[in-house]
Amino acid sequence: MSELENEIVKMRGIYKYFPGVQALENVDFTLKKGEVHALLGENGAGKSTLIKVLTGVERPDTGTIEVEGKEVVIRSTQNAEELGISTVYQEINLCLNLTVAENIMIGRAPQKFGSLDWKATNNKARQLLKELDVDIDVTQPLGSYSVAIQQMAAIARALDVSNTKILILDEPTSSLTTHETAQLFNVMRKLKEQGVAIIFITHFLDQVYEICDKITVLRNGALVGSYIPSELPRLELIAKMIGRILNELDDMSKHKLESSQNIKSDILLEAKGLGRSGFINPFDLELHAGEVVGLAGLLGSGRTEIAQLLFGVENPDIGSIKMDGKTIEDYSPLKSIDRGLALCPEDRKAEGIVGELTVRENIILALQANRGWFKYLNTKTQNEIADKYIKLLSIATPNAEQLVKNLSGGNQQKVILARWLATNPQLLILDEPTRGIDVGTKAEIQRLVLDLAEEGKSCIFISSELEEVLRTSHRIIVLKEKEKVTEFSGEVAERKIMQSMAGSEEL
Amino acid sequence: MKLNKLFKVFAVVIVLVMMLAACKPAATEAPAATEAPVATEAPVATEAAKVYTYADMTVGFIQTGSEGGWRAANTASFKETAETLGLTLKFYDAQNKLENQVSAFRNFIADPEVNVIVLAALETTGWDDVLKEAQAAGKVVVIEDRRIDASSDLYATYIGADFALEGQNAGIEMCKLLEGSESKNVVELVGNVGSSAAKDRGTGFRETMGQCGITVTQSQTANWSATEGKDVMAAFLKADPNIQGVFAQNDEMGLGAALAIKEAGLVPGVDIKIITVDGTAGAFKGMIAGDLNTVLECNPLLAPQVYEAALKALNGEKLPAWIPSQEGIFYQADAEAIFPSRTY
Amino acid sequence: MTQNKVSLSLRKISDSKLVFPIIALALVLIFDLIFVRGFFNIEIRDGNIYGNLIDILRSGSTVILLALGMTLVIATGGVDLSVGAVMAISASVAALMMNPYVMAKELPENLQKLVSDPNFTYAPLWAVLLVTLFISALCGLWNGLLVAYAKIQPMVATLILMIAGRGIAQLITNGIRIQIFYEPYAFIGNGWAVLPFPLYIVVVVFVLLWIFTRKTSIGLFIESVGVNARSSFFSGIDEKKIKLLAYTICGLFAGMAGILASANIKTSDANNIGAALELDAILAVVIGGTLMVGGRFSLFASVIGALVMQATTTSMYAIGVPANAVLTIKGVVVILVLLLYSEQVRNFFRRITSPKKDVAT
Repeated sequence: MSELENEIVKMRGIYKYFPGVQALENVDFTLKKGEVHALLGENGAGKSTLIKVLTGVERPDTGTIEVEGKEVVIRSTQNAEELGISTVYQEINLCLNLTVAENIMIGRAPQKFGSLDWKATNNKARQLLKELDVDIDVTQPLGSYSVAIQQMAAIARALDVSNTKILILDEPTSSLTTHETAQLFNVMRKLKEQGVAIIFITHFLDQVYEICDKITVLRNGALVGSYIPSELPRLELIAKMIGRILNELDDMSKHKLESSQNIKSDILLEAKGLGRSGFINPFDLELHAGEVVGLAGLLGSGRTEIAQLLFGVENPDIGSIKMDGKTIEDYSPLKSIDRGLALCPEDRKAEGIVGELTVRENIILALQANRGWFKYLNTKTQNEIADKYIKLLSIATPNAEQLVKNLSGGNQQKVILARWLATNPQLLILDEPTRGIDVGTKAEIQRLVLDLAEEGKSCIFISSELEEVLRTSHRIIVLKEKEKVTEFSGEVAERKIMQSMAGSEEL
Repeated sequence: MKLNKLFKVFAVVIVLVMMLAACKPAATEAPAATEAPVATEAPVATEAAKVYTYADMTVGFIQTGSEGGWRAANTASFKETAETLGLTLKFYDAQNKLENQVSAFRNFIADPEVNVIVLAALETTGWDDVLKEAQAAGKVVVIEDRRIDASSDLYATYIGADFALEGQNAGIEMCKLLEGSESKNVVELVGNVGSSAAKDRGTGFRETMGQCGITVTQSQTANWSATEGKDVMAAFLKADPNIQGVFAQNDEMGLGAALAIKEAGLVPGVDIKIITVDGTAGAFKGMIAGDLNTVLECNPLLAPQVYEAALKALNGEKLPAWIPSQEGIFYQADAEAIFPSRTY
Repeated sequence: MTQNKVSLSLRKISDSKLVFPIIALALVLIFDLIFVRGFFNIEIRDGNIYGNLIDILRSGSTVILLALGMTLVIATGGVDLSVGAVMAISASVAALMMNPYVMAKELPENLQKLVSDPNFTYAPLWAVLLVTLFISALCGLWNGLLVAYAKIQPMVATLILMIAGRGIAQLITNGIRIQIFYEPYAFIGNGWAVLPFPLYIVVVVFVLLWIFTRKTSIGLFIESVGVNARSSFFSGIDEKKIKLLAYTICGLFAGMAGILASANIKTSDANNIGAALELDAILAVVIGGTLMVGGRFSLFASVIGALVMQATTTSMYAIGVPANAVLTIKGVVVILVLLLYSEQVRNFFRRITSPKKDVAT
């Protein structure tokens, strides 16, 4: 087989314009049989758009697509499936109230006597999941399972398209555990042997080097280049993605050291025996001004619950919070904002952004809520605030009047950060602020946290990436099964924290 | 995505309309403050061949709903007369929904206490099935106020106005009012489309109007309502102001039309004559004020006649298919004198 | 370059919320221009302006008021089915306060005269209006409490008052249609000062509501709650209070509409006032581009939407459409307008207004 015949997808000169954004500009992309091809870039680099063009969700303005040597026009997702292109999207678009089997088999369920053959449907679904090493009751609603299982169901659904030649995985691992990720990689390797070409989009560079045969980097809608992983050192890759050399990670630890001398002795917030039954077991927490406290723990260990309790999303039924020495009587987000708290919630889409509102409106939302109904910020002030934070956080948006839903995930996250910074909080709680965000922005957010600490603000930093928690936090609280297990301060080894997270002395 | 939302909008609107059509409660008490029927003890089951008295009678009355003074008086008549005569009345307000009426009818058929069913039908057709069921169950059915299209074998009798006669009388009265007028253009405000009152009053009017050369230049439904009567009349006047008379099929629409005529700078009752049907207190006040010229009464106090007929039917007497109710014609000049004696 | 600019501004227009309601209204009026002789005739009588166009505005004033309140409710993601019933309640309260004597079965001669005296009112006008509006606002508050605090689905919660409301109205007036003779009250719905008096009320109320929502943060919060209630809550917006406010305003406006309607026909017609108007109001808001799922709203677009509904009705009266076709035609108009909103049609407009692309690049 010649090199050329091996090429299963060839995209040439793809252009795509969205209102206010040139999403793709003259992008070429080639995919070969049996190859795992990483598509990398910062948020808004054009990865998702390129995928959408390939899967028929969007039509390119200009440019050609060849599949197996033939030029094609992909009109619809169905069209793409006929060509053998299956996709697992970043945002899981499944129906949580349908059963697992229905979700996997929907639209192509086996039929008997003109009606659905449920038994066959369920069996087929069970078998597909087994290939992914997932053994669950497929007749239960999908919503009753974890996000990871939902993700697996989405992958199973994509694999079921019998003639899948090209499988696109758009950030499939962002909500998977290490074990689940390993399972997924096994499946990917199996498919690769069968000659399936896989496009793999992720923010985890480790995974890229572990499984990918080829890397294509996009930046601001344009192609940077395609590389073989073994020939591209990690730092160089990052530099290509963000367009500059990264010294920031090195700077960071110095920065943290400096800021740690800044921690005040007086206590900003003190939680005593704070808890809510069935939500989080009672815990104690002390926070000093200028301090960054990290919460480490596995998914479901109670990290988010602590954040929500402190911010008044849920009311505690035991214990108390003292802020600036005064005991808090009433809990609600509004009251918390008034006390100088801010919470960047974990679920950006459901709890963070207000999609149909503009960037400006989203940024001023919490500040305005704190000011009340009638002290309305005038247009000029609103614009000033919006512009200030767009610049400060380098939010990539054509203007402040763009709807937030049109921004990429990372920029949406920055908008929410801006919303909270605008309230000038004393304590900023960040719950997974870097999930699904590119390396450059991650570093920016981490640095921002340390900057705030230096200004004397406090911060609670929650992340599933332990490395990140370590890099930013002066003190780390470890949680396990809705309980505070222990606390570390100063320099700690990652291994030690992982041991407490897992609950064993020896790993 | 947007489209998806739009479909949702569609769905919501459709669901909404369907809910409106279907979600009225199964049975509500009469809204008026007039007391609900006094529940007397259920009549003691008696052997056949027994002579029924009012005390043995339990009447299930299915009212159309409530649409104005006439209907309120009609309902009150049934409730008050039942109390006076000492019979048991089960009152059902169908909220102007046909399906409510049909299901209430079936409930009354199934109710062992009820031996007489009185119906003020919302629509003229579609009653054969339930009437047969009632006959099979041995219930006496009396149709009141509104005539239905069903074989007269299926019910005991119909008691009510002769709508066609009312229409004919209106035509004759309009002729009197427009005597000497050069052109005789009359506009018509129609009640609910499809109701027998609206149909028959319209046809009756057309039967007699020709005698003096009246033409109906415009005709439009105003759904028995004053608001719509006013709006429709305003539109009539703008489309063609050459109008000498208004035939309003009920008082409310006529009173609404009078307001529209005033707004157009004309004098109702003088420049444009108005005839209405029903004879409610409002219409009398309208006549006293000079706005309305002639009011044809459509007597709502039908209960005594209905109960009497029902008792006869219970005792096996054969009744004529139609017992007309007593009607009257009232003129502007007499209104002030008659008004205090009116009971509704 | 200039061509580009022109098409850009065209594109801006075709993206705007107002354009489709205005196109719809224009279509209805153009239809009238072609098919109804003299529809646009306007004459001046005693210094007042009369004509079909004025009729549309005047008769539309009740629906406009309802649509304004409804806009806020729908923007929060809810709906208020009870506005028609609240109109009936407000009409009954107002009529009763002006003329409680009609409730008595028999009246002494001297009072009998008073009852139809155009200068007689039992309670002074300001008290009548104040109490009526207060009670209507209470009705709205009740809906708001059910929706925001009892967490009942809006459609179900307001259905309760929709059904019970007319009964309440009839209880208030004891099932009687109370005629209204008091002239100053009738002037509110009936009067003219060059233009019909209700128009002035609508304009003033519109401006006040616009200021209330757009010059405070309330409009923003309503939209925010409608788009994403959870995010709004996390941002410190008291979602419940916002909903309560929206429903209360909606009730208040329904009360105003009830006053206008009863003053217009000079009676407290509890059975017919506002009947089925809730649907007109909802459709007006939808035509105005506010999504039933909540979010962005435009008061002005809703007003245009209400005018589309009213213009359709008035045109049908003027044309003399057979009575049984009226509702069907209304339905057809609504569907046509909603089709204008479909993404496909919008894309079609965009394609027309966007510049031809140079394929060579």
